[in-house]
Amino acid sequence: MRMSAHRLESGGRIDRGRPLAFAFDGRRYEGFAGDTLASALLANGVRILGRSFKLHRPRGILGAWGEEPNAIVQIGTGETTVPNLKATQVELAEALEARSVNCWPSARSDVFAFLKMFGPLMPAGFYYKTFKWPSWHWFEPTVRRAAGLGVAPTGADPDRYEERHEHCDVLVVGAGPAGLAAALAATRAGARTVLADDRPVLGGALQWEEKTVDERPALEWVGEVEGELRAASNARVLTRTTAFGCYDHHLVALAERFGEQTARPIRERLWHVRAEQVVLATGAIERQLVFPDNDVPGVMLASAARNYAVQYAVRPGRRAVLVTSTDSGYDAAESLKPRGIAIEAIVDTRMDPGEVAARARRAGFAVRAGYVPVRVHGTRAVRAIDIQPLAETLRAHSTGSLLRLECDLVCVSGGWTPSVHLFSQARGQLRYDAERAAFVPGSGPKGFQCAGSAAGQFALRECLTDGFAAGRKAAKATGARSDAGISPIAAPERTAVAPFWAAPRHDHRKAWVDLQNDVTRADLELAARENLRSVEHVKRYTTTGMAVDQGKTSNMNALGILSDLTKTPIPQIGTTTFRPPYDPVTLGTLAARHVGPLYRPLRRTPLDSQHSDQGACFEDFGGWRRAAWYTSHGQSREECIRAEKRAARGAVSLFDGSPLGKIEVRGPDAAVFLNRMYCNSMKTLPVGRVRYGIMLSEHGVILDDGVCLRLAEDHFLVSTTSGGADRIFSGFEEWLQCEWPDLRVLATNVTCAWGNIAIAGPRARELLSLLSTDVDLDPKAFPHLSVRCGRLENVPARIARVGFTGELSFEINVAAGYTAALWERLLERGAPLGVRPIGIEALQDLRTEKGYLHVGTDTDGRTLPTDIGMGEALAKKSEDFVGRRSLERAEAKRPDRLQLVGLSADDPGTVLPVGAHVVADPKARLGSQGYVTSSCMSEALGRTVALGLVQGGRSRHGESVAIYCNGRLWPAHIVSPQWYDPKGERLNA
Amino acid sequence: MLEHRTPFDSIREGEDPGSATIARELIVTPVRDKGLLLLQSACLQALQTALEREIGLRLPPAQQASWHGPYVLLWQTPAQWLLQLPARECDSIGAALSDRLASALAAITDFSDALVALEVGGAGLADVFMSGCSLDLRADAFPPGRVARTSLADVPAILWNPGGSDRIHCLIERGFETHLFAWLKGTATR
Repeated sequence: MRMSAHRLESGGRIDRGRPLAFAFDGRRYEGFAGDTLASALLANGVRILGRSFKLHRPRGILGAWGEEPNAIVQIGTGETTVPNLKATQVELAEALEARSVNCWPSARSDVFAFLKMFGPLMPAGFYYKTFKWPSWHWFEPTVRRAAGLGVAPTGADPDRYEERHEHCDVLVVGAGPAGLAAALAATRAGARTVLADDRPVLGGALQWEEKTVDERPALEWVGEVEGELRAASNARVLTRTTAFGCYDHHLVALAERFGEQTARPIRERLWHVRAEQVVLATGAIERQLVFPDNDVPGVMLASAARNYAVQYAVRPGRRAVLVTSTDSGYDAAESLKPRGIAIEAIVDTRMDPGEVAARARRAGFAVRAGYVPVRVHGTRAVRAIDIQPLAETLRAHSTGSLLRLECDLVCVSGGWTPSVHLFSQARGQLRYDAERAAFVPGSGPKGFQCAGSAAGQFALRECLTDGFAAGRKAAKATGARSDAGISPIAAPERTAVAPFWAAPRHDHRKAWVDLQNDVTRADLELAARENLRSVEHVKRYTTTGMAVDQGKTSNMNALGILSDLTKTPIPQIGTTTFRPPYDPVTLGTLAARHVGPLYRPLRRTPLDSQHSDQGACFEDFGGWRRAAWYTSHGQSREECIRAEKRAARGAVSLFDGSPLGKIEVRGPDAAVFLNRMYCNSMKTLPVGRVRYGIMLSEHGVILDDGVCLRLAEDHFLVSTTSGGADRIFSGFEEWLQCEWPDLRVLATNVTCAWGNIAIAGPRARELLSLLSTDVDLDPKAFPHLSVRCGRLENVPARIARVGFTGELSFEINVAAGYTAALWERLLERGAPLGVRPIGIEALQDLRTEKGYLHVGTDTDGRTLPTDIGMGEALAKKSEDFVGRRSLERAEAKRPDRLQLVGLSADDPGTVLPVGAHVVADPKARLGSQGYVTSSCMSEALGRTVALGLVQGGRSRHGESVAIYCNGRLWPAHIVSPQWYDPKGERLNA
Repeated sequence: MLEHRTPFDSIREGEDPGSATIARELIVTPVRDKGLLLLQSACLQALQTALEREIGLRLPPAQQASWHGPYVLLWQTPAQWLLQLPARECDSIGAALSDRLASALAAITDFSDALVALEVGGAGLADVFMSGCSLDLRADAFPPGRVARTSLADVPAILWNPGGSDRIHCLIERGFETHLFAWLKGTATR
């Protein structure tokens, strides 16, 4: 166990009574409860936490929270491992296992470090230019493997994730001073308020800035506000909760973490918050300064150094140089010095910093105004920094007045960039504020306000008043009327900044703009030289601002540099698009409960228990849990399916057709309506008869098929495919409500109200006659394609002479509650007849050998009714119908369209693979003329059968073709799709 | 005569709560012996008159329920309502309404077997439901008499508040009950 060499003897908001053992890159360390992984590693003297993305340069910690670009780690092992977390955001836990990424075997000793020697060969976009020949895809696997960061777990995640919807009057994002003040005002005013913050404790920067609010320590005020909010019945406080996306209608998505302890009932929770008013108090991110070698471990944001020293009692270095272009940067010196960190100098890039520098000098700090950093010494850790007067650096290769400052810590402060990500996602407009050298919120969407630093108010006093006013205004907008009281107040501060986008070039050393993606100023120069003017193009060419941190510390510098290079004002350059998520979100959080059996709801038919009892193997067909086949002791799947098919062809079978869509269409204009919805005629359908019909989209493409039953003059029952009921019903409603409101028609989706059992086979009538019924089953009285309403076993039933097997069939519809009893009775009475239940697999084979198409299997998104042989029916119909116009296009009449045919393998034992192509040139295996859509071994015919869509297929019956799939060829012939009983004698029996 | 079975008859041990209490904070009670009629009419006045004469109920406003004795009328769409009534009266009242509406464009459909009705109650009700439903179901936002057609655990659902702050009636399409039970149990026992 290594001792914490850099831990301060006292102070910090860590629990020294709760030491925690953890490991990083296989080494054991110790930290305390309240630490982050980053603070604990710094306390243990670990400086290198990762390797850079492209050149594998050693990288240390730059930030202290979500802005961190370098310290990307993998947490945990096995199925619970999580890649690409920022060490700065990982709360320390007992036995935490963390590893660096993009390096091997460790960040300290990375064998790929040699890549930095090839740096000059790898400028921005080098792979676009280099890996072109013979093809990018030739290199892609290697490059992808080399370029990855963390590793995704390969097993199923055993942890539990939750989801929650929330509604509130006011959502406040961020619990820094502005957010706390806003939540306080909104809650006091009586609004139902939700306050969300991504840190484990409230207060934001007040945790380390050591300021006062209302003339007392700021943290006292934070504690009081937290207590008041948590006690209020109209407020909810969410810590460890990141607002990562703003969507339409004030929907804000939050990801709540439940700590990193190993045993936890819930790991993360996804919140969908719909808020009437949103206050974004998301703070601001301190900017890196761009100068040569600014990526050496030990170069750290000034605010981060302060955070580590004050909140975590960690000494990030012993001798520090502070480089700043802002007044606020000086604050770090005042916090670090009393904690034993020597301040070698404050280097201010501004020529005349004013009062802040004078005050620092009076406090004993050495201030170098008008100086800029030109080089950092050290490779694995900062050893010194060279600075030079700005005027000198502007002279090429000048080394005059170079000043070397020995140090092991360089604190940088390049100004503050408001976190406007969520505001921008909500379609808020940004404007460039030259005084603040940053983009700040401009006109916003209704109901959204930015407050505090997020709005460019960087001083605590303004943060508090701005936040309080925003909370009060938001609450008022929701109708809350209680008195919010007065705003908390703090002492005034100076926050002046002078933009300093990059130090002038100094020899060949790299000045890093985006540390996470290894983007240098030279890369931006190259992009500008290559005339990439749009910031969006520059982003994609150089990759600046991409990946995990989305340019949190780099975007503004990149824009500033680009502005200098292209001589274009920053407002004209604009920003890249802010897209969710603001911070990475695990896939587990997004999936929440939608995993395993709850992945999506699967409907069960009224016969589900009966299928289970009969040994059914279930599969998901169109959102229904359906019996695929029924197991039989000692028989394989194929043997079971064959036996089912034999029963249907030789005796009698039962099939659960309950999922078939059933839509009742009633009203005086029902026939007119259905005549428009089907491409074939329904107006002429007599009462008591049934007709097969096809419905088309407006593009003329086959949408659904099924039978239409006319129960009365003004009453039809439309049968749809199992998965198509809801879609077709919605379509009916849309046409009725939007296009033809004049039609007197009512449609009702009764799919779930009725169960459906299909009795098929030569003994079907015999079986049905064993039950009591008032329906005359005689074939003359009840012919094929007719329907009778009556009673069966003394319950109301609709019996139709239709089927999908090609055999004598009766489809019986009874109320869903009677279906199970009917099924059991049919099995009981039919036992002597050899009755057997059949599953979907057998049915599919039976319908294939009959040549019945299955929409979605034997049709695709282009298939027209003429392609499946419905041309004659269309020609007979004079009235208009949905999709008719599209069938008049020249494209619809091309003779070489894909048409439904049978495909007969020359070897009758060969089952042609579904998806195999009919190829024009068998030798070259090129020129697809169509493909196999359905294929099986026919039990009845003793050979294989197949259906397919083939170019001009119907005029090519008898033609020899070659079928190709995965390197194999089969000779076959195009034949009629009606393999079995082409005259229909069996189904008309 | 065939035996009539409800989905609750066929749910197996282990797949359902076994009893009405599925977690300490959530109690699910199947609503039995109730019939459902789906009323559709383009002629509201005719339907209004028929309902008042047959069962003494007025059509509720949008997203509301009205009830009188054993009869509950739930708004569904601007031209569609769901009437919950004793199962034994379903045929007779359905026929009577159909007769009264014979000359109007109207349809009365027996939905008793199409939907499964549950009463869900308990202190954790809103928390559990708001894990899978995007509506605000807390008592002040979903008061007695309020009806919503929504999605619960990705299942199309009709929710209504029959009165009180700690119970909601839920109607889902038959076939989804096993999924919903599994989801409720998993959510309530977290």
